[in-house]
Amino acid sequence: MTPDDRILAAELVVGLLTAEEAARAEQRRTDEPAFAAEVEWWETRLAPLLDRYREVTPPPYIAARIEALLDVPHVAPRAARLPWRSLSLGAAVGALAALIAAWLLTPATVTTPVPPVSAPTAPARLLIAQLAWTDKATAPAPVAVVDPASGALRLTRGVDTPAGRVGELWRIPVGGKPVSLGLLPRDAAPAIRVAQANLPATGSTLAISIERRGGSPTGQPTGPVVAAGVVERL
Amino acid sequence: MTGNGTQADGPRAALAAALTLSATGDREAFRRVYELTAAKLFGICLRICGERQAAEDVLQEVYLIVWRRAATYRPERSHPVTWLATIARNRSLDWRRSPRARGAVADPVEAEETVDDAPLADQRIVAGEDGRRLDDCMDRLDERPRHAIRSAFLDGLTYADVALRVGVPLPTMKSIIRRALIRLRECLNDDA
Repeated sequence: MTPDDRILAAELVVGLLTAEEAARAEQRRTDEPAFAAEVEWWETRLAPLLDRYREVTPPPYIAARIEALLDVPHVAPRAARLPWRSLSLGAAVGALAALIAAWLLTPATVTTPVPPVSAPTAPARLLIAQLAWTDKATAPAPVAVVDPASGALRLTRGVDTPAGRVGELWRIPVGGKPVSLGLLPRDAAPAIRVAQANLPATGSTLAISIERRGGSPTGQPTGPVVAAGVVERL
Repeated sequence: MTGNGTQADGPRAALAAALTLSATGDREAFRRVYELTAAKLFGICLRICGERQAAEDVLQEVYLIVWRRAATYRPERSHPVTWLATIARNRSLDWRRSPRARGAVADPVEAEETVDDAPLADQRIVAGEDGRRLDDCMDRLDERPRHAIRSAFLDGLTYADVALRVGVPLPTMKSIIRRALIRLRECLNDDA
């Protein structure tokens, strides 16, 4: 614990850091117990300042909204402190590619993918995104596989949604705004078709938000983002 | 956290119990946590986000986080209000630092008037021995860094925000505050 580390811990707790600096410091908090202890020390010492916040009664519908969302398994984006790019899978393995390609090209009604002896059409061109839940989760997060040739996109598993809500899939270009790829059918392995013009690019992000029935009315995600991951070439 | 034998022990214990029960999926207990703390946490979200709509969204997110993370709360380590308020503050800071918030955050000058608000007696939840120690140590700092640290904490201001508000170059502001943080740490660490 250097003197600079001590200051950094204080800066994090006081809130002086930019989003990027805070994200880096949070990462160190996760990785380094000594740094975490220093952050906690500051949190405890500065806690009396919390008394200075005035109480303001929130509108009554907030409680109802929260109640309604308690059943959604993994709500809440950690966007600002979550480096999305770090969620990426990294290099995928060739043998896996062929398997996944087979699975992707298997009609949705067939539940067991048949491992092919020879790889089907152009597996090398497939795109893949290992999604990660945006908050702690017990179930494994879905992997999205896209065949640019046909526009077929499939997820290895679905997303739990409360009644009257639906998962909506988005592509988020680097430095750009989310673009809807469509609503996810309630299915163990949801598949959708994406128009050629709407295919996600390598390096862009795929994300799933929870929206009201019929999808986001604004053209942008309005509900919580429950999973996200970066698109890679397989 | 200290606080043994204070009058606040009753509510503190009740809230800690409700929070612990929430971790088992007890919705009634979770509702109690909300009722006891929503006004406090909404006050935090509102002040840092500076905007009602955002503050409502953040508050909602905060309680969903609380619902899922209640099991990680350790009653022996922190006051439940501190634990909850820290989550609310951090989520509000995240929102304030996010691209969504740019241009939407409250005018810092407007917020300045409230910076030195003393805590209301009936809203004094956390303080006690710790509060007096912090007050003493803050009082020993020069006025400018004291003000800067307090408003950075309460309003969610970054170094750049504080520098802009005070009208001091960013590197100067940083070194003033850093020196003050070192002094503050020495003072708070002084187990006299």
